[in-house]
Amino acid sequence: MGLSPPLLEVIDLKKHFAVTKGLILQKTIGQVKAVDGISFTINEGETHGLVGESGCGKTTTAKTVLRLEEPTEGSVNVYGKNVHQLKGDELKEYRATVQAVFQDPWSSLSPRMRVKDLIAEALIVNRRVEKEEVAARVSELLNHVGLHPAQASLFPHEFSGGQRQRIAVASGLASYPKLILLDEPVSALDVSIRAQILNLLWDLQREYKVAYLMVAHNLATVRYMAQNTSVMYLGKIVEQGDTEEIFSYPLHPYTRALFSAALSSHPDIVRAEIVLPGEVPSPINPPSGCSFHPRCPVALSEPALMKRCKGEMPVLTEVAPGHRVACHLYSGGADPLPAGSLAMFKDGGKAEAVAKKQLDTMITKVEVSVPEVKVTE
Amino acid sequence: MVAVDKSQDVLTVNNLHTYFYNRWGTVKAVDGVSFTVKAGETLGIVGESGCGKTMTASSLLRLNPQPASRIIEGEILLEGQDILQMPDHEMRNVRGRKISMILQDPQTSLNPVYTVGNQLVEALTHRNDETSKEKSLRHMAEQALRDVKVAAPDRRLLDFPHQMSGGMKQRVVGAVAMACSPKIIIADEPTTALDVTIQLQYLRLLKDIQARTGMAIIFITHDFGIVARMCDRVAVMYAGRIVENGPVRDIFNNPAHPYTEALIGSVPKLEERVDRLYQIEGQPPQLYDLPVGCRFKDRCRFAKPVCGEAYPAYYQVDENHNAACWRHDPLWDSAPPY
Repeated sequence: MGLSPPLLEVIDLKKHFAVTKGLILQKTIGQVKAVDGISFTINEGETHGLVGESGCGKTTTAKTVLRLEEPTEGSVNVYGKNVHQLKGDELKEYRATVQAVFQDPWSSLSPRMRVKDLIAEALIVNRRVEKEEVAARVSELLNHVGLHPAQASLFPHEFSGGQRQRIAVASGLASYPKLILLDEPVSALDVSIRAQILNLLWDLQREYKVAYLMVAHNLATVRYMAQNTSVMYLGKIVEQGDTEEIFSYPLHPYTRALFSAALSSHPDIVRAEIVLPGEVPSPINPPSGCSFHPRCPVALSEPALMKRCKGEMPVLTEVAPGHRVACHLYSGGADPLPAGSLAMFKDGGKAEAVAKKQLDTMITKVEVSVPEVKVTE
Repeated sequence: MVAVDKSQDVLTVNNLHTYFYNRWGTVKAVDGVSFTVKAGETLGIVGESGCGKTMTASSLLRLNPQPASRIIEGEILLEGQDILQMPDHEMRNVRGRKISMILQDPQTSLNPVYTVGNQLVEALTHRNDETSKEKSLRHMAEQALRDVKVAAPDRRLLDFPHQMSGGMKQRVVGAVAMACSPKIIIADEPTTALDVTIQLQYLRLLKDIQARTGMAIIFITHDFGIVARMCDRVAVMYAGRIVENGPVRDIFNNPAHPYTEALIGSVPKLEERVDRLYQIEGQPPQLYDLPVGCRFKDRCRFAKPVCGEAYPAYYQVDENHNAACWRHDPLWDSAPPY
């Protein structure tokens, strides 16, 4: 194929942190496997959502892509080049190509810099530009994010939270990037302001064909913004694929539990709630086999399956076009679904309803047999 | 299960005003708020940050920061008695025993240098009834932890807060708040610091305890998902006032105030992908510089000149459902547009 390499390619990325003991003669007593072998691809102009609970490795992934952390294994490639081996001009080019917008606009903008300097900084550092060009670019960006160019010489404290996040977005866009990392871009903002920022990001993507890697714990936000989604649990991707596909037919028991725990948007929409027992285990000593097995409602109810889940780590396998799951339920062997029913999901016909119903009865049956919120550590 | 007379009003707030006085002038954090909570009911107070929901809650316990702020007007009737008129020593008997509070961040509401058991026992000593004389405090503390579904409570009593996870700490905070079996619990965004799966565990726990004890809950939140899951009635606050008040289904099905409608429409939905979120333009007004008339008028798409003339009265749109909006006035259609 004569295709050029994709914008961002994360290949089998691992980031382990050593847990040490002692002050001077430090001994490594364990490894925190923050990110443990994840892969995904982002093409130009696309949004990829990364969801999961806190401590699942979303932010570490984002940091590694931004070159703020060295990976333990695996690689992050931008246009086919490993970003952790870049030097000189290529490194400069990478820094201009990949930018970030963080969660909290109160701490991400320097209080001592004027707005125009904040926005221009990324441009001046990364691109060779003339002075006049900088001023023109700053007012152009301010216009695009819905602020007035006359506000360029104000300081961040003179703006409200939503306006500050607009400034952060403008400075992310300054150096004509191809990829922007959005780390919880709206969770620090007020409810009525969130929609403004999400719509702004959406419009800017249409206009500049910029791609987003969006880290969020709010599932509804990801459904609104992303074309592709990866669900993470304890440093691994458990489910990955087209956003609409995943949200319509979540397959992994964790994804189903996560979706059912997200509250519905209307009191009349009542979902079967799958309450997971316990809390996320420590990543220092993750459980053997499938790391979700001690909390998995399906495995807990079926001892035969549990044996396999404990002993064998499931791999991410494609179960429907563009939909990958890492779970023994769908990797053959203990498959409780009739063959082919998953592939027929896309038919939109009877097979879909049948398969969906089967999954639902499976989960509801399971839910009854799981004891009430049992908290153990 | 305790049989609760659901028609009984536990708490009635009438025309409450809590103002701050500072160098910018008078900050009208709570500016004429009235609502009623019935026994066993959950009332949700929804609004953005800075709309006065937390100040309303702390005024109910008279814990608003003093001397910076003052409750200048209104009455808070707890079982018919106005707690604003109580002397301080009587007010101490109300806090914890009658009205209790769960705060947002469990990390800051527990004392880091005392064990969890110590803090529970401290709360339990204020319990002044039959059971407290019969059983040892330690036994009661264990039971309190068991009630909030903490596993192995006997060992957990000896833990310090830092040895517990966030969800577990928030359970302990709940146990402390419920130690004296209060009539009302004020939960001020109790799940904001928790993950979604833990949040669901916690919400279910609160519902269970409510069903068992019959306490009323005032749930303060900005998340309509929590409102849909937890509340029987909703009061929507904007810039220090309640703009709409009604049963939860009515609020979701026929929002009567444009702010409520816009707020519900601006939240992305998990059930389906919308093409574009409804967007409320502008920012809420500053509480020290409030406009004359309706406070939402500058962001409202229905606004007419009449909105700037006076603050609208509460119009009854349905049974138990009212909204402060000029659109429900009989003369609205004939009012001239801009």
